[in-house]
Amino acid sequence: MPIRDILELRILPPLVLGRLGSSDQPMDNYAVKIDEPLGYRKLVPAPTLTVSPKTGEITSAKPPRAVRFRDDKQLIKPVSPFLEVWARFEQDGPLVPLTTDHLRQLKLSPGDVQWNITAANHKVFRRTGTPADKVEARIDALSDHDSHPLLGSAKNFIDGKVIPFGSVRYIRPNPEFPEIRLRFTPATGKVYGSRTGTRDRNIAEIVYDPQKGDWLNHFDGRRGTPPSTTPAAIYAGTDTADGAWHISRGYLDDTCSGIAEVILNVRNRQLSAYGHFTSGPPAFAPDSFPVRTIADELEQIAFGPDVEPENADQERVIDIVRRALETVRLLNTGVMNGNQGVGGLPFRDSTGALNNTNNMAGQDTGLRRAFTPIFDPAIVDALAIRARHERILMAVAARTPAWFVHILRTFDQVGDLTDAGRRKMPGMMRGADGLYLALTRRQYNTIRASAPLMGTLEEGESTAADFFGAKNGIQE
Amino acid sequence: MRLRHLTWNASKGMAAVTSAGHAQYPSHAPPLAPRDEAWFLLNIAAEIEHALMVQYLYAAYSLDPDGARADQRDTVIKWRLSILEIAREEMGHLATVQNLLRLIGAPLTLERDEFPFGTPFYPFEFQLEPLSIHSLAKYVVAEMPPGLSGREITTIRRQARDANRGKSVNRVGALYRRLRSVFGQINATDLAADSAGVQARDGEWRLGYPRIIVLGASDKKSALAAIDAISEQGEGIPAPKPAESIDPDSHFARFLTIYRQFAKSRSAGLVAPVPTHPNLQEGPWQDKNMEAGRFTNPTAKLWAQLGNKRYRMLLMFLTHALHLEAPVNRVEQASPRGLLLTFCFGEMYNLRSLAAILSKLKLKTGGGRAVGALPFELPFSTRLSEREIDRWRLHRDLLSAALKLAEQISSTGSPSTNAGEFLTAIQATDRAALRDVENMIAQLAPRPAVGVQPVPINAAQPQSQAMRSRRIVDRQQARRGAEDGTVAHSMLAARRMERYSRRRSAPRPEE
Repeated sequence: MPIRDILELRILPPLVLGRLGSSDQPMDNYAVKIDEPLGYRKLVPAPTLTVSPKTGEITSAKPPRAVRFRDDKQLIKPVSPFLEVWARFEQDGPLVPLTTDHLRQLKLSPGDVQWNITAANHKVFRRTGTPADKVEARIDALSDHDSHPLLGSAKNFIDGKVIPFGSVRYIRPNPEFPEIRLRFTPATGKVYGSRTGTRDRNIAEIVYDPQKGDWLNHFDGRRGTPPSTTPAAIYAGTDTADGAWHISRGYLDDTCSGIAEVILNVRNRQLSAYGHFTSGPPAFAPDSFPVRTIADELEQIAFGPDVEPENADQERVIDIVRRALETVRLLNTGVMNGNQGVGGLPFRDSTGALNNTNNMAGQDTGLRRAFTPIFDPAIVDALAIRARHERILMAVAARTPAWFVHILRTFDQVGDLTDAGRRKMPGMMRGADGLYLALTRRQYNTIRASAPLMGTLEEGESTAADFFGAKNGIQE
Repeated sequence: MRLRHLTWNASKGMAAVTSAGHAQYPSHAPPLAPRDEAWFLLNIAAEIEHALMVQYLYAAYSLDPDGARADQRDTVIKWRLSILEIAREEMGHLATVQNLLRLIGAPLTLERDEFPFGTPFYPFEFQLEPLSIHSLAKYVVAEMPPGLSGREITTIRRQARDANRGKSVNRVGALYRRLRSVFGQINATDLAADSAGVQARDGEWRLGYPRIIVLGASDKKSALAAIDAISEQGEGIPAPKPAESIDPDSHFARFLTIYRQFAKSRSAGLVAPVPTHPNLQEGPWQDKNMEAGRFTNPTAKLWAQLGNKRYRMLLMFLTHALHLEAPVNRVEQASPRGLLLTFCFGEMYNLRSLAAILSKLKLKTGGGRAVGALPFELPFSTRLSEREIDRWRLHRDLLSAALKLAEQISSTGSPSTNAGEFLTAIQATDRAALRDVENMIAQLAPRPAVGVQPVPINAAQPQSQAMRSRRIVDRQQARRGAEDGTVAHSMLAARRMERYSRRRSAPRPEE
């Protein structure tokens, strides 16, 4: 059916996640399958858009023969996602991928599509509060099909210095792949530093000028800087001798997040849409999914925290419990529990004092809780924990109602450092606020909806109301 | 347990009224020395707690929320949850009793009575039966504190007696009162204070269940506190407080609550038609009551056999775990005790699933109303082998047999989607467990026979490295004294072997 107009543009997916990598080959696409009930997820090659470096066109969509995360030089392949432009042509019509054919019908060409890209890394600014520490890159009115580097610069950088955030490329559509796409390729994952006068092997390049800005030797809590994050001091640094301050080494990294805006003038109207992109470190355990992810957060945002019993979905419960197993499988639970004599606990710090803080139980002492292992040390070794979660998963997979709902930590219990509180699930993990991790409310309610009344007999709840039906409980 | 020397005594300190109006506790004739009598009484206590736990589980699983009316469903689920929780707490009592046995240096026991033999020292005759007003009456009386009276209590006692073939139901608390008195007479020097390392620990058992009591005991004072805690949780009052102070969370109070609600409800549909005395006897019984509970439906029988097998595995995992040192802190690698406890808890989950599956299967070939239920039949023995490696071999054998049985059930066709998924799941966990168990056996495997020629050190032959390393470790052990049979030492030895092997496999400079 011929189109006469574009009513709306959209970029889908609205958020894409890139992962750093120093290879010049982007990561192949793969799907994740569950083949063995208790085994690792299987990574299966999936159709992968291959882009010609020379022309910027997609040359094939075949799956690779095998899923490989490194190239022949053992360099990590970056995850380089695509942002696609979708359009709606009729009122209440569906969104469909915008193609060259649509453009042609509207007497437009791919060259009429323009992109404005903004990328930034505000990590240092968040600490110092100094706008000149914002590292930003911008590309305006991009309409060719070359690869364009995103070069992040800041006023407090040494003149001429930049941090490359990666690159973007407006993919050249062709007859076989006529859709309109932009590709974001993240950076390589290097560490950048400040001019200190001494050589630091961690640093790929010195970019920051400590004569201009205060990032080098910054410490959270310094007067005039924004309030600390929680947890605080999450930057590379060195503690003062008294342990009170964490002094920044002046490092910066090449991750970024940004907005890609697409603009198209149609019939004298300017249509636009935008999508988000971001980059982070590689996934070193891609066959294991964390118990709580951004996807869970987004689901809660989209659908709310509540789940009615009639909408109970055992498959979702199985998924959550499977992810719990996959999470604990990667943890050194004996160390995290604070088992003494394990993994070098306690260790002697630079002053020679015994330090017991690099475990979950030890970190609670910072909140003035006495040091004790969280769980009984006999039952927290990795093998026992893994075996226990396997059994729980298998029971849930066999459709047993989730009897364990009452030991799940709710969102308002994250600060409970009592024995019982710390032993709730998820165990031995912290949330972004540094307190104990809780599932999202939607995850919790998903489990609860599948097991009505399982949480009824919870800690502290008494049957007194039922019992004292008669005077003193006993009828005479 | 042998009963020929059992007798019933009254005591000045125990004038509290029991169901029959007499103060009674079991004792041995002729009288035993205090420590010996404590052993005798603790054996009885262990059997009682085990028997109660199993009977309560059976009663809880007999409740059928799906069969109840919509307005009753939530109540039935609450009853089930409440009784299951009481069953868990009895498990805690059982674990605490094992700790007391350890304290006096007596062997552990997981034995209990099985029907149809009457056992005078049990609160009531052991009987797996669906929940009813009469069975509830028995449970109420068994957990009742002393000194209660009134019309309701009299009615309940009568119903309990009727349900117990005319015999009075004894209060469990009477046994613990006697035990308390006996413990007070034991020489403190006869108590194994150093047994704490093998006793069941609170942190191992109570995850998420704050009411479960698992108390260790290292001296007389802590032993008495443990005995009092068990009594109080059951009866609801620490003796001799007046009845007005009954704890509403006590077993007595919770059972009484359910009893009252059950009495007021229309019970049709609330309880599944599970049998009394479910059993897997091969041939027919003369006793018609026992015959009524016999599985004849071949599919249901297989599932019930699986239930028995899992029950046996649970008991053996548990008793083995309680014979291993609990590492207080230093856990560099897998803790065998932790693994066994995990396996034990896993069997509890399995039994729960199996109860649900069996309730959907007919008991008898040819139909009828009765449905299946867990038989909880004891194995031929719950004793542990002497050697550590043989204990693990038993687990291997049980897991292998369980896998075979699951395959056999699979081949008959799954009765439901849930059952099929359960079989898939249990086979996956059993295979994983089998791997872990075989690893344990491999690490405990005896050294090769004397006379084997030592093989030159060579990176291509890591096994010979291990053999040499083992000899070095053995010499070290011999220097330390008698061979320590605990797995902890064996695994430490295995770790040393591994490290030694890796170092020695690198070529020497001259090579």
